[in-house]
Amino acid sequence: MMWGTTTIRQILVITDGQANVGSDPLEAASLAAANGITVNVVGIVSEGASGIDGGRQAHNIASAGGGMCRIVEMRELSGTVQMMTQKSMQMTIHQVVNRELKSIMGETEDSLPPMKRVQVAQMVDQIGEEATLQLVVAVDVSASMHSKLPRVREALRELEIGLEARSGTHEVAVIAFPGNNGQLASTVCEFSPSPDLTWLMNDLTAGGGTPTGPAIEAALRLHQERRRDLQAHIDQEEDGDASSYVV
Amino acid sequence: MGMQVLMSSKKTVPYGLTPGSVITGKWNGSSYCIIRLIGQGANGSVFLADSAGTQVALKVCSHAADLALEYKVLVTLAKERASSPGPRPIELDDWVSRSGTLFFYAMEYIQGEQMESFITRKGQVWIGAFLLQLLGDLSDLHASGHSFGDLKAENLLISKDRCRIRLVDFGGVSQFGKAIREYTEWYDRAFWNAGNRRADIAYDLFATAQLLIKLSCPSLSVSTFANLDARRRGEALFRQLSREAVLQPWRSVINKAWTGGYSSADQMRSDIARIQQEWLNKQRKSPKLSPTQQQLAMSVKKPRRKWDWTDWSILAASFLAAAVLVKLFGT
Repeated sequence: MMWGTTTIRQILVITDGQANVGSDPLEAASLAAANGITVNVVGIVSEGASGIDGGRQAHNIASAGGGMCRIVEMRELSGTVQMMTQKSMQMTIHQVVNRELKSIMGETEDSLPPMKRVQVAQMVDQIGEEATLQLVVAVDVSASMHSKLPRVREALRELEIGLEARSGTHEVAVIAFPGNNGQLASTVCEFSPSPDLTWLMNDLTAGGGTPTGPAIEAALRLHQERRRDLQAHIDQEEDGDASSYVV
Repeated sequence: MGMQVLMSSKKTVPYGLTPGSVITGKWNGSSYCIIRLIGQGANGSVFLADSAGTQVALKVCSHAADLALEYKVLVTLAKERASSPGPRPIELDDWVSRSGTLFFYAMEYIQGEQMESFITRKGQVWIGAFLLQLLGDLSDLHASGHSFGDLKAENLLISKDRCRIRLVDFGGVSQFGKAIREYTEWYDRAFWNAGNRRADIAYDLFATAQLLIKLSCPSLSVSTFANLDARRRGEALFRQLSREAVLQPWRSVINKAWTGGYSSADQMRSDIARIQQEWLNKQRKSPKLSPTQQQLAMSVKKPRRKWDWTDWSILAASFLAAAVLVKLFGT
């Protein structure tokens, strides 16, 4: 297999509340997972509070989406977003490697002798460093999130720094939910290696609820469109598809 | 960083390992009896343990791959260098606990005091001396093609036996050119908008400058700057630093490390050695020197490094030259 062109697709949901509008976020997340897209969730809790109401739901969404969930305080947001994205990429690659190992040797990575495992870990690390990452960040912009948006922006900038340091390429798109003009979710930034985040400082009209489900669906659509576009591009170039291994 | 949040729920007894618990390796069969918890890092917990009468440190983690990579780094360093800057690795193994398989490695136990508390206790006069040692170690590490990455006061111990600085927690060690694996904001070049987060020599030297600032001005805190736009942070920090008289001698070093002006740890090392020497010369003239400071002044005066091949070759060359001269003019 050609690891150099491995593409990893992720959705990252940043929210501080319980989904209460539109379709079921768990269904949307498992649909994404079924399409090979990992869904990670960061839940923000206010300083000193015991936990957000959506804490359990956040965990459930992530587990349906095959990803990770962290409930953090505002000041930990930057580090968490960055760490989670990287860990989640590694996790995806480990899953693929384990599938391969299982089919070749009937064993998973963890059942290998430790020094053999070192070699697998090095390989996974290398793949993670070189893989292409396509990430859709879905940001909750409901009323309670407004004061937090500058920090979200900072966290995404931080993430960009982390991704910039890798040798592989990356593209990040951003979706806001609830969206503009009464939409449940809208794309505020198309796929770009360096997304323009100024919108996060603008006054966003606060919708009533938290349509997390529709936001994940929108993120999934964005991924599928992007994949189709890239596929079309590859098809134009005759034999390009042989070198593309999609996780 | 984020992972510490994860751990906080298990802070009391990580992995249910209390003093007296015994871990037996699945592959190699060695047994370790837990003495106490030493620390919790970004990726797992470190315990002091007894292994057949010898004290060792055990790093236990639920994530096999990270641990395996970290162990591999220690092995590589130990192989390449006679005296590795890190703890000597012993073995990597699995432990099948009641709650599932956990992963661990055993390494040399470095008994020592946290650098910050040592400096608080003994005085800031020691900072320069330890930075010289640290930069020597970083130079060795860099020679192997790695950045230390997560360089910070918490990852530095002053060993009890030799009063020498030791690096612990190699989870952040990253190959040059790759993304830094673990970092801490205060020490992170990218946080201060002073460069990227890719592993290179200058990344560690920036962190060393931040360490120097942190140890000299312990009251400064990263939270003061975290709320600022990244582009304003450096400016705000330097404004604060301009008021700190203790940093006066170090300003040129800090500026140079911040702007990526050093291309090797040895360059920064010789700058620090020079500043240290000037400072001590000044101190030696003043009669009010404490016995420790005098001792330190004397110790710095002596040549600090061992002779390497350059010294020997200079010596050999001068003998040769002398011999030639004798031959030419002797008779």
